Amino acid sequence: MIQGWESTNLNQPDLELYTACFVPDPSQPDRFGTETGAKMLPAGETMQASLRKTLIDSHVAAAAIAILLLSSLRTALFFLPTLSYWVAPALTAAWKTRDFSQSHLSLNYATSVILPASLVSLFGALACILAAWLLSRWVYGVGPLRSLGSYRGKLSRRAHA
Amino acid sequence: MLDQLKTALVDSFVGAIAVGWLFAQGIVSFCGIFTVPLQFWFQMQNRQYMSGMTFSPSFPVDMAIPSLLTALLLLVVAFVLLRWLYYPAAIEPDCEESSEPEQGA
Repeated sequence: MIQGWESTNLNQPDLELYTACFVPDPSQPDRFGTETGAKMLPAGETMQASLRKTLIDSHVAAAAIAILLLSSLRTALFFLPTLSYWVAPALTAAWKTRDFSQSHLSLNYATSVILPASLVSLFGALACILAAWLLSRWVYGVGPLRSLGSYRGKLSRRAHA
Repeated sequence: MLDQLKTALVDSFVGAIAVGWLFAQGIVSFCGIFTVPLQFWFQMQNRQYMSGMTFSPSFPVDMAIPSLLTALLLLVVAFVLLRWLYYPAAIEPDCEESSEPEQGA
């Protein structure tokens, strides 16, 4: 028996559409965070489930996750020259004097200006990774790399077909 | 004409990539609400330290407004595009079909 079915004005085709849209496939465990089987979702949850399904079916979520990861990678790569500009002279000096203490790791004018700004950029990159992870967990229920990895399998199957 | 454009965008995945890009840029701009003022504040602090000025620069909260507006605009455009491309076509014909037998009866 479908809970809440009597209180709605849905007829049979509407029920079939609802079942196709919002009821998870039994072969896929807990795709929408609901129990398997026909069940009326609470008010307010329908739009969320619909948005999630649309994001999955349209591949928008995968594109957004990939772009967020690439954006964070790009920002992190911008941080590397700054880091090397700060650490490389200290490592060279430490190698020459055979003194590997932190005394060589001093801030000059350039690094004191660039390093904090670069650290903030790095914070932005971490925020992008966090956003990609949250989006992937919400839409697919797994991490971003695993969700994109499953797409690689789908694309290769499509290419073979 | 618009239906053909919509079909082409959906079938070629250009629409999905474009909407995904808009969503991602919206999220990046949302992160910029926090990072841009912080970056500017660090630069002001450094400039003050190097020039030996005595006054302390206030935190530039108004620097977050462009990022906020950009994020809102991008997310709204992305959501509108998502609705236009992927929402209505699957539901509207079924609703019309389901309402016809009732009117006949």
